[in-house]
Amino acid sequence: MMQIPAVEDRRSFDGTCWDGVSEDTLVQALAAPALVCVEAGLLIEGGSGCDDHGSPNRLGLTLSIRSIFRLAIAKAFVMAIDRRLPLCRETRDRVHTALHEVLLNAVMHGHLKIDAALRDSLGGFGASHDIIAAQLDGDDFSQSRVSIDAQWTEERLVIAVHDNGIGYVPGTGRTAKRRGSGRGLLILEAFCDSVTHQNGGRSIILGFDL
Amino acid sequence: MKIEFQANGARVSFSGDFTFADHAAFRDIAGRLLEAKDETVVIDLSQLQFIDSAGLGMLLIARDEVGKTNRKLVLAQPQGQVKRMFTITKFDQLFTIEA
Repeated sequence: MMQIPAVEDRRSFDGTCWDGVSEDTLVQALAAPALVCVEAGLLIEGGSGCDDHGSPNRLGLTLSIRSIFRLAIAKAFVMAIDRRLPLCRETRDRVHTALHEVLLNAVMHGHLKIDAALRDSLGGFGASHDIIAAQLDGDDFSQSRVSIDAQWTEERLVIAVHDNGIGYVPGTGRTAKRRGSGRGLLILEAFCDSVTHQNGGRSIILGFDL
Repeated sequence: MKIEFQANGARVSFSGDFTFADHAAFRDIAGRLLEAKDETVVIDLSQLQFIDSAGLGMLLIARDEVGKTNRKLVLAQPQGQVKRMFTITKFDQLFTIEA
C-alpha cells in the first residue's frame, strides 16, 4: 500500500513534479510515461511515496489539500487514466464522480473538520467556503496532503486515496445526511463496485469492474 | 459552470460542471430566480455535464427557498452523470423533473 510521504529526498525520486498551478499543467505532469507525480513543495521521504509494483498499469499523485480545494483534480486524474486505459463514458463518469467526492471529503472532513450543518443554507455554503479558504491560507495545513494511487488490469480499476489528516468515515457523526450535504457515501456505494475504508478513515479504496 | 438566463428571469440554463466551487454563482442565481414573478422557475440542465453532492445540496436549498413563496422549482432535462446522480439520490421524489 502507498505510504504518505513526509520528508523530501529528491535523489531517489524518479517521478514527475507538478507545479500546482492549474488543471492543464497537472494533465501535462500526469502524461505518460509518468507513473508517479508529486506537487512541488511537498516533501517526500524515500522517493515518491508510492510502492513500486513493477507494473506500468498504475498512476500515483501526491498533492496538497489546498490544490484539491482550488482545482478540478479528479477530472484531470481520470483523464490521465483514460489516456492509458480507455474507459467508456459511463465508467469514466463513475470514477470521476467517486474520486471527486472522496477528495472533497478528505479536505472538508478528513483535515479541516468543517461542520456539515453549515451547508444547510446557500449563505452557509459561502461561509464554509470562506472558512476553508482562510484555513488553507494559514500555515497549519501547509503539509496536509493526499495521495491517490490507481492500479488496473483489463478487468478492474482500483483507486486508493490516502491522507495524513485526522480521518473520517462518511455517513457518521456530523457528516450524516442533511439538506446540503451528507450524500457522499450513498454516491460512492452507487458508483463503485467496492468501497473499503481503512486506517481510521484516512484511507479509502475504490474498486471499479471494467 | 456557465450560466445563461432567459429574458423573464424565470428560466436559467447551466452548462459545464456544477460543484461546491460554484456556491457564489449559485447564490446569485437563486436570488434572481426568487425575484422572478412566475409561479414556476426552471433550471435547464440539458447541457450540464457533471454535478457533485454539494451541487445536489444547493439545488435542494433553492427548492426550499422557492417553495417559501408557494412557487415551484423545476429541473429540466438532466443528462448522463447528472441524471444518474438524480436517480441515486431519488431527486425525482423531491423535484418536478422535466424529461
